[in-house]
Amino acid sequence: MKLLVSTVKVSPDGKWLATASADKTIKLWTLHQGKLVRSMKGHTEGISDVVFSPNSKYLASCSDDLTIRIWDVVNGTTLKILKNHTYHVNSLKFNYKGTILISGSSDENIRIWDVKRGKCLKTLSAHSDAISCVDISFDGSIVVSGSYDGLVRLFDLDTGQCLKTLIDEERGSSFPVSHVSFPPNAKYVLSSSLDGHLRLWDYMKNRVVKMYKNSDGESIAEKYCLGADFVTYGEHRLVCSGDEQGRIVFWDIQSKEIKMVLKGSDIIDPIMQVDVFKHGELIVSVSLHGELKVWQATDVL
Amino acid sequence: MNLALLDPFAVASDFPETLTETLSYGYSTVVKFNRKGDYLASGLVDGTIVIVDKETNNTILILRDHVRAITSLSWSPCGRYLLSSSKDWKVNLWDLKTGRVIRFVVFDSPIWNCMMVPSHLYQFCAALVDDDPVFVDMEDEKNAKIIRLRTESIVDSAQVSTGGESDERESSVPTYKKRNLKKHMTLTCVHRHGERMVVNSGDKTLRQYKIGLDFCEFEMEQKYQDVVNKIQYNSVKFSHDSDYMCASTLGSTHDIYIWETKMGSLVKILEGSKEELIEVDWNYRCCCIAATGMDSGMIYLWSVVMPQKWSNLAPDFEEIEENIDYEEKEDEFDLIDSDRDSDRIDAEEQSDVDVITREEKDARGFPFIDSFVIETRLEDGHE
Repeated sequence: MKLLVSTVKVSPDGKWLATASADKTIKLWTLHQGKLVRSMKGHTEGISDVVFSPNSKYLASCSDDLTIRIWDVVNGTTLKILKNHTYHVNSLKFNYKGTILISGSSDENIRIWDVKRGKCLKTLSAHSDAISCVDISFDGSIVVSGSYDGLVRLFDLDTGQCLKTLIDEERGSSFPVSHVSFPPNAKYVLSSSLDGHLRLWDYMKNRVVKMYKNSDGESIAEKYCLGADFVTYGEHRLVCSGDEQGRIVFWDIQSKEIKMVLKGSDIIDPIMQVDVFKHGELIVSVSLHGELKVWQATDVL
Repeated sequence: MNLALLDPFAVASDFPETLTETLSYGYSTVVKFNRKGDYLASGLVDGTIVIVDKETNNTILILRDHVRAITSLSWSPCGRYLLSSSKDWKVNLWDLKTGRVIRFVVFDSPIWNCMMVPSHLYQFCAALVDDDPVFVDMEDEKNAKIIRLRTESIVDSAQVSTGGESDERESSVPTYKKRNLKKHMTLTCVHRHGERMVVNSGDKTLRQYKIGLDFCEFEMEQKYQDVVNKIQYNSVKFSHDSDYMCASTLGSTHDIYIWETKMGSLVKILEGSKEELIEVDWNYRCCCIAATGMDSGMIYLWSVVMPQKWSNLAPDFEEIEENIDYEEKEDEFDLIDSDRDSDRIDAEEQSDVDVITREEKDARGFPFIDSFVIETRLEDGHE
């Protein structure tokens, strides 16, 4: 149980890897040598998500102990502790300036934090179940959230108003949403539901424009919140996600065909996170039981 | 990105209407937004310059070098550099990446105002107390070139402006304005494309001029004066397309007036401050007006308030103005053949998806620009 890993992230400057684990520690690795630099202790419960600030100097982590901590990457000290959530905090994102941190929690709220003051600026309460994932558009103006109530909502970061709610009525899916993310131009939203499919939404038109399914009718995820992302390196236009069988699947955005499958784990084990660095030049994956792999796009794609 | 999803009528409004925020970081004498409108520079009476991040309304950088009140601020178009003038007779050029002064010039008198030439980082114009306005080139760090701009009858050069924004990159010639009116002239504001200017003079009148192509001829377009209250104006600013103009007022009115410049009609009075307002600045992209208060030195911000549409929370509902009679549609309660439905969905899914190309303009029609991002430092502690 001690080794269960929830996520892996690459720092924007390409120096570090950070993994978060249920054993209450964050581990910092060098990306190129894969050397363990430091184990950061402070949280009193398991950690669900970590995220680097845009300047790679700071690391934010959120935990089941209801707090968010901001760490100094260079010396491993805790700089800030953000408290206000009343239940497990599940997901974090920085805006592109590094001034704002958004967090999604099982207390059904999204909070917007002023990083420098360490204060909560706004609380977005529109969901009626745990929030599994949040993301922010490249220009820092729109927040997207996925919740176990089956809805994907978009919020205006400035005013805190709800801008859109996305429901897939035609396919009748009210399955919990386990992941959401914006593509590089933030014109669409990629969501993953526990019905086992990925959906690409055109939020201006309120509808699903693409649905990505796993091979052989198997589901991508039914139990775990697995990360998904876009690979837009070079000529590639792909969506990638781990599945619960230990594979990393790559779909062509346009044709929805599976272009490639990588073995993220030697055993059948959910791939908790695939983090895409430099639009996919490097892809990092981690499985629930801690198998961390770094892929180079030029080798595999 | 968010503007496209907001109420289009609120987004399209030309000027802000509601006092939404007051900021208090010392006694502010000058406020200036950067071109993108995401940072606000505020010059304080003690010489400190504070850069405020618009999203968090928190200070992101504090610049200390001047020892007297700041008289003017000017951003470089890229947002990385800031020019400041002060009553300590000094003009500083700051690099916001390091927070340090990279060039400075000391004059023989206090400076009313300075303004950067948009296409040249090291060139600026300054208006000096009891002297001719000057054009300065600071390229050479040790030896700044100072060129006096001759004016016919020197009384006092109150204000200079450099004309033309990014589209006039080559014409680095600054346009300086000085007219000898009958009454004492206090302030001018030139529209950023250099087509219009407004002169605020001591006779309680604002005069709006059209500037000829050769920058020599001025044709008076409008005169603004409040004949009833006889108000003197403190500071004037054009909107981005010079269709509107706002001015703060002297005395006990505590308001900002907004005029439409084609007809010269008063369209809005911004209320809400409890004190006289001095400096104003117009943030075009965020549709926001900032003004400094005279008594407290606080900064007041007026913006457009977006109404929350409750139908955004429940997409199967629609907001209607009034009740309408329900009419059943032909196929509303039909059991749709599921095969046909999935065919339709498949057809919909054939559409092309582009996840790379970004929008070029926002919903207000401004192009998206990349502006310098000031690094967030957490070690500095609270300020």
